[in-house]
Amino acid sequence: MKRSAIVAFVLAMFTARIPFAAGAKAGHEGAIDHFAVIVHPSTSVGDVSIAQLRRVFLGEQQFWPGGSRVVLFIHEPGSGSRSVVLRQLYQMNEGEFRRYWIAKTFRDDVTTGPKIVSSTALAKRLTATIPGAIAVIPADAVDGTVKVLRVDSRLPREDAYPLASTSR
Amino acid sequence: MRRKLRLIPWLAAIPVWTASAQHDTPTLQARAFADLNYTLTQRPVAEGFRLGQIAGHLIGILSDRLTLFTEVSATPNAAGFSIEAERLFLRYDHCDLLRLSAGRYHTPISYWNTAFHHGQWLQTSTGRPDMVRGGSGLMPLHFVGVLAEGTIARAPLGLRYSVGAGNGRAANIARAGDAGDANGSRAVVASAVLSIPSEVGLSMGGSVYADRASPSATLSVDERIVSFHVARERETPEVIVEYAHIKHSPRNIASPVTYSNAAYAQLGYRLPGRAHAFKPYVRAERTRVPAQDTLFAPLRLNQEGLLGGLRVDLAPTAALKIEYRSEKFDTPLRYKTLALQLSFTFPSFSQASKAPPDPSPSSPNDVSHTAHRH
Repeated sequence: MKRSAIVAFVLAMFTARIPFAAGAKAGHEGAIDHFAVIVHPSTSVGDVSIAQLRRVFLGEQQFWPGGSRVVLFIHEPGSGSRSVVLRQLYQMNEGEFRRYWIAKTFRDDVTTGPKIVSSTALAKRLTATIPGAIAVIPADAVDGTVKVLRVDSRLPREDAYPLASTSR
Repeated sequence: MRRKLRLIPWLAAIPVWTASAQHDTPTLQARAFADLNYTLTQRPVAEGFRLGQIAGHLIGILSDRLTLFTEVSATPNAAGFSIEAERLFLRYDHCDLLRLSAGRYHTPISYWNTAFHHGQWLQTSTGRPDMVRGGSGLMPLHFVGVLAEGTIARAPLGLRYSVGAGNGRAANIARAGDAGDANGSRAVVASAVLSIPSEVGLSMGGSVYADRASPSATLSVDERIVSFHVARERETPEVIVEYAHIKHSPRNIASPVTYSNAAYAQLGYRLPGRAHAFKPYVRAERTRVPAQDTLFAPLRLNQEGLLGGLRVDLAPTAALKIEYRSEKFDTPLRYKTLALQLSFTFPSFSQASKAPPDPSPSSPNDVSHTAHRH
């Protein structure tokens, strides 16, 4: 009796976990948001590796090969673009990101930190206007005013494109 | 006194005029660091509340390639505040590979010296390791001269270098030769730091410094300093290890060549989850100077210390640190110290002297600023 009760309990737990597990899996299935790396149309670069892109966003590379100074635009906290940039390029949380740029400026490694933009439309307009500008925006917001960089030879929505996140 | 009064406006960093660098018009950015300390100690030094160093950091972007960096500090003493121009240099950024500058720097001879220096909030602990303590004289912390710097990036590595020449130590060896070379023998410094972009915050590097120090008319000592460091600035964990080896060769007296050594290792760890504001840390450090060292021995620089503390980040730019230290200096006596510190940095600010052309940002120059749609 006791043994059968244990077996029944284990079976009940097992069967109870199946829908839970399935639900959890279904919860991870969502649309994949791709983010485009946009630059000023005059930028001489068309394809960057993820390592190069990381160097640009970290302020380690401050000039484009053509000689223009890199001007970084980053969305304000709370946006998907910023989350992708912080997670996949900076590998930092918000606190680490802030401290990183305060330290970098204090050490005179850079003359200025990234400029924070409040919307995708503004990021795109500024990038289209300012030579050397670079920003990351949702891929579906890209238009002909800016140039889209290939990252590791891939454009947004291509397989294995690195700047993507799953929305739930 | 008049000179001090003239410098005060720099510290105050009163509203400044700026414009967008992209349009080749000047920009000025300001940031300040400050700290308040409370100390209980067995050491024969003043206890109680102490206002720490106030450091004002200004960056003037004069053009797309030309930048003026300045840092002025105010340090409290028994007579008031002593004002110091810590850094003041003009830099021309030709490209990533070459940046040329002239002025007064934090000598690129030690990781801590260039990474934190007067920014108490930036560093995890309440104070610097003894090997880079201000005024100790062990390392030439400041440097007046010219510097060439650059970054050589070849995936997956980045190499940052600095090569410079300057006045070296003044007659007071704890100070830089601000008013000219003390002995007509220029100092040279070279450093290289390796980084890995895929491991953000990890760096390792070394430096070499050579100078002739002349603390008096009768004493002249050739100095060679070699230093190494490994640093992981990420906080899970934070690791900083540094070592310096200093060779002194007296020139005009019959004293032996001596070798001094200094090192420290610091480990910190930012706690996860809800305890994210807390960062415990420990540091061990040691400085050994031979008794025969003609330059260092009178300064009594021997030190051995062990400290542990907790940093609590109260806000994104303010921290409370509680630290316990046990230290030995030139005698067998061990001193215990309890130190509390409130350190913070003021948010940076900059303003446009004229409205930048639409649609450029309203306050464009820092992560703490947001460009809003007009």
